[in-house]
Amino acid sequence: MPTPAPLIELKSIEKIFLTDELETHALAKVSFEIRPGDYVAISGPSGCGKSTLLAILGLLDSPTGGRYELRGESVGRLGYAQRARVRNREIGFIFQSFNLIGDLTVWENVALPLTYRGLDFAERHERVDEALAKVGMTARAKHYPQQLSGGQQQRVAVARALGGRPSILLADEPTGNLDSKNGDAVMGLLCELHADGATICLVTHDPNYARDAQRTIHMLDGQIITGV
Amino acid sequence: MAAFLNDLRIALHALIHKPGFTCVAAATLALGIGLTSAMFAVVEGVLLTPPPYPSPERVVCLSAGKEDQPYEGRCPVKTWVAWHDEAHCFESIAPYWWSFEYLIREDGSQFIQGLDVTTNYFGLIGVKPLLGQTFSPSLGIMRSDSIAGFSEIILGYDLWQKTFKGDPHIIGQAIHISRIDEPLTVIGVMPPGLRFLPADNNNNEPNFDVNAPVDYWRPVMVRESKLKYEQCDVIGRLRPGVTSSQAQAELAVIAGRHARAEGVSGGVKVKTGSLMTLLNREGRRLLLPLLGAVALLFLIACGNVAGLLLARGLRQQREYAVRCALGAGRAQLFSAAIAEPLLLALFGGLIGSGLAVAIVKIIKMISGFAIPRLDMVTVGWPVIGAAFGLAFLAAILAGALPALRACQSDPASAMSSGGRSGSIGRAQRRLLAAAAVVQIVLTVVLLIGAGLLLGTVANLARLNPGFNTKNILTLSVTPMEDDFMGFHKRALERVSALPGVEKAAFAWGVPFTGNKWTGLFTVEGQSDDKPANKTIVSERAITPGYFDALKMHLVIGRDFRASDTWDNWANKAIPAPGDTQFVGIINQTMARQRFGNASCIGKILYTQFFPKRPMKVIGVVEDMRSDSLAGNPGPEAYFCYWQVPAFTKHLLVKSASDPRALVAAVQHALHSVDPRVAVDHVKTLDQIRADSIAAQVFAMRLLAGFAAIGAVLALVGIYGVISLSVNSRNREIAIRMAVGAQRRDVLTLVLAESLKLIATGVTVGIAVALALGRVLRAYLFGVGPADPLTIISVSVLFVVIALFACYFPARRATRTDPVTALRCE
Repeated sequence: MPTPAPLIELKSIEKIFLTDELETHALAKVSFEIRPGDYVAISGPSGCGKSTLLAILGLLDSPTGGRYELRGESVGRLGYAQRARVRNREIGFIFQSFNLIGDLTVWENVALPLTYRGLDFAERHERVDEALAKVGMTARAKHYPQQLSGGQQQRVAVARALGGRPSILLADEPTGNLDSKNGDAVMGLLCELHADGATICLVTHDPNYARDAQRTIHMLDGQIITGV
Repeated sequence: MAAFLNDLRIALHALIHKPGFTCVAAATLALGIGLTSAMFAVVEGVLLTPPPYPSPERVVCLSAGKEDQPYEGRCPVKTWVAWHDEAHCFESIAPYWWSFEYLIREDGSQFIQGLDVTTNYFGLIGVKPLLGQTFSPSLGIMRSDSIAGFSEIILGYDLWQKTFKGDPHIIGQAIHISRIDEPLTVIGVMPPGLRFLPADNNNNEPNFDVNAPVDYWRPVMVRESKLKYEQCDVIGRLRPGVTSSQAQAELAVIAGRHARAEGVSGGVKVKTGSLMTLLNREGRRLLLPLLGAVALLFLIACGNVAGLLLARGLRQQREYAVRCALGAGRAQLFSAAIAEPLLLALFGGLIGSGLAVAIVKIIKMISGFAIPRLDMVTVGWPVIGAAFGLAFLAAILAGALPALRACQSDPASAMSSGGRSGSIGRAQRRLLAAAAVVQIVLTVVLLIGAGLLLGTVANLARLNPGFNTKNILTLSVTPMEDDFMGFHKRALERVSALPGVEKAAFAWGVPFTGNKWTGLFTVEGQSDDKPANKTIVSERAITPGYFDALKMHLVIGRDFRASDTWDNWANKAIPAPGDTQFVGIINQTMARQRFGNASCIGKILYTQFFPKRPMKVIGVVEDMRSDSLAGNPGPEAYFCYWQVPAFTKHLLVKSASDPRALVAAVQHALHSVDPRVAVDHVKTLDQIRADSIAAQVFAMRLLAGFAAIGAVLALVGIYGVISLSVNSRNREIAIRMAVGAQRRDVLTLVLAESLKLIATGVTVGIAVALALGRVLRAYLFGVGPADPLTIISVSVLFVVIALFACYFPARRATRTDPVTALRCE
């Protein structure tokens, strides 16, 4: 069976932050690939550059140097609007603090990326219902986030990420704000999604959860030490 | 106390280190306090300052009239006599008559106005003379045919100061006044501040000014023979403890008994009214709505500062939580939180007091004739006290909520997420939004009010009154020489011959001055019972050329001629064979009312003036708005001045260019005919027209100013709320961006939120403005209180400007870094 083409390919990615006269190298010559169906974990101590790498992977930020290709297209130098469009279609985020919008219901939160994509109501409805069903939150569709437990909120966040049918799910410490029971449940959900074919990139400092991934990239001081 | 002083010290330190916040908050408060204090000063000076009489609340105006006749606010002298003799509710009751004369001087006589009073008048008002004495009670007040003592006069303080330079030896000096041959002896000078009492029936007199200081008092004797006919204005002083309604009931009984005894048909209406209320009718009508408007502005300012303080207080939650964690009780937290608002109020009060002084000066400058007795208005201690009272009220209003929130600080939660991020939640945002909505509501009310008045003034300004007001000079002229008619003829000749003068005419009843006679007319051959014959007609007397000067066109017939005069002046009321014809010109309205479509030229009318002398209609003139710009023309009749002269009247001079350049030449020409002639009230007809709408213009200017300030404050408030909302939703916006929102989506999100806020405020504001519309109804012309054009244009304009103010925080929101979404709270 031929090896599928890389979904994501990073080549010598650098990220330098300039503050006053201080130059901080957050990422230095980071290169690796993620192929469709991969489950990659990025781990390392605090301040090692995990989140910066995730921000660049998720097109939330641009690299200072190097090349970033998504589905073979260079996306590292895209303009603001193009990045937003690609982000909306190709990437699903799962954040540590869930990042649900308190003024919106569960259903509206899940529908949010689809609204920005301009899908009509019927299609949005179908996709949101499907995503909520997948995470077992259909019954809570009309609730507000503050009416849910942390674990439930994170499941909704997963549903929001899935609703857009993205190429890759980027999970940033998804268990960081959960107790172990809920954390395990969420990680179990990610495993199920991966088993169904989802491509997942997980940032975590918990080696137990990192072990769920097929591959773990270890980082230190903005560089990849092992796992490429 | 020491702890509170320490809180004040810390608050002062904090305010000094936040100069932007401090300046905006203090300036906003100062503006609100300054405007409110200034309006309070005006209201206090005009409406709340009583006449300088002891116990002024016990002085009431009395009137009586027949039940079936128009109520004029006066009373027959006979009724006063009955009340004077029989009423027990009063310490004293006195009649008075407004009068005017001229202080005869060789270099031009001077207009003076005063009161003719009975000898019990001064005892009633309870004011002692500054110099000399008042009229001796020994003169009696009625039923005397003696005229001894009636050659005395008491001077008002202002006249004494201005004309007699405050001469301390004025007592005993003789002065000459018009229409009285004998010199009058000055027996007293009254203290300052004594103004006229209400005398509504004199409103038609050319120089009547109820708000002016009284120049003189003369004793009047009520003769027995005239008791039945004369009318008078009456005041009474209630006995202590007697109410106005008790007194009114007693007076009604007395008046009714006398009416029945004399066989008067129908009942008698009796009314007692507070002197203050009657004097302040006009002022109250204008000032109370404006005070209401400025109160709205004060609330807007408070709302604005409350928003600022609330936002600041919310950001200080962590600080309060720390204090709480360190053991501060609720009272201590409240003290710490209220210290800043109190200091801001102190700064606002100080600056606001200074502003109030400046604003009062501006109000005096722009009010024109709109507000009576404005010279009484000063910014004294009561106003300064009011300013600081308002400042502390503002502190409580604006600072209480943040302070109360501080009291409820939860050290655990506040020190965690909320305290760390310094942002605010949905509930707080709603609170701030509600404050902004209230500001918008109040601003829209003010803007709609200002818009309606602006429309009114514009409508009045472009209204054609039916006559020309351009390049016309008017002067009030009263000759002192014996050859009365000769003076007028020579004066017209001299003035007409002046270079630059196109026309000159004398007129009694110049438009917009309120000056006119009124009376009933009957048409020869028609029944008196015909409804039109019961319509009051405005009467004016003019010399030939008046219509030309005012470019009024005769629809039919002819103008007056110099030959339209009397051959026999001594017997002008009763015609004799061969007399010159008494002629008159009527306006279109009167012609239509009395003669329908039939020609009226040559028809005979009878006036109340000369009921036995037939007046022949010789012409019909176009209608004009002569009483007020806002009023429709009513029936009017013009007499020829050479047949119906008046003691004091206006000279109208039509010039080719600016008529003010002619003032000196015209005055010189008049003095050359009669050196003692009184020439005063010099104005252009344009000025008179402008003065006639002074109340509307003043209200419009003030309300427009209030509305503009309110709008700026409200815009700052909306900007602040949206800015704070954007700041506190920074993370939410980042999340939206992270999941794919474009910048335009974020812009739309913030502007939609702003529009919701603005639309809510504008909608409620329109509803409130509609509900309050009747307050302004009396000042409107050509626009209704619910004028859709004004309401829509004001609302749309405000929405557009408000959205523009919101655009800046919205644009800032689009620059949110989506990476923020990755950061933990």
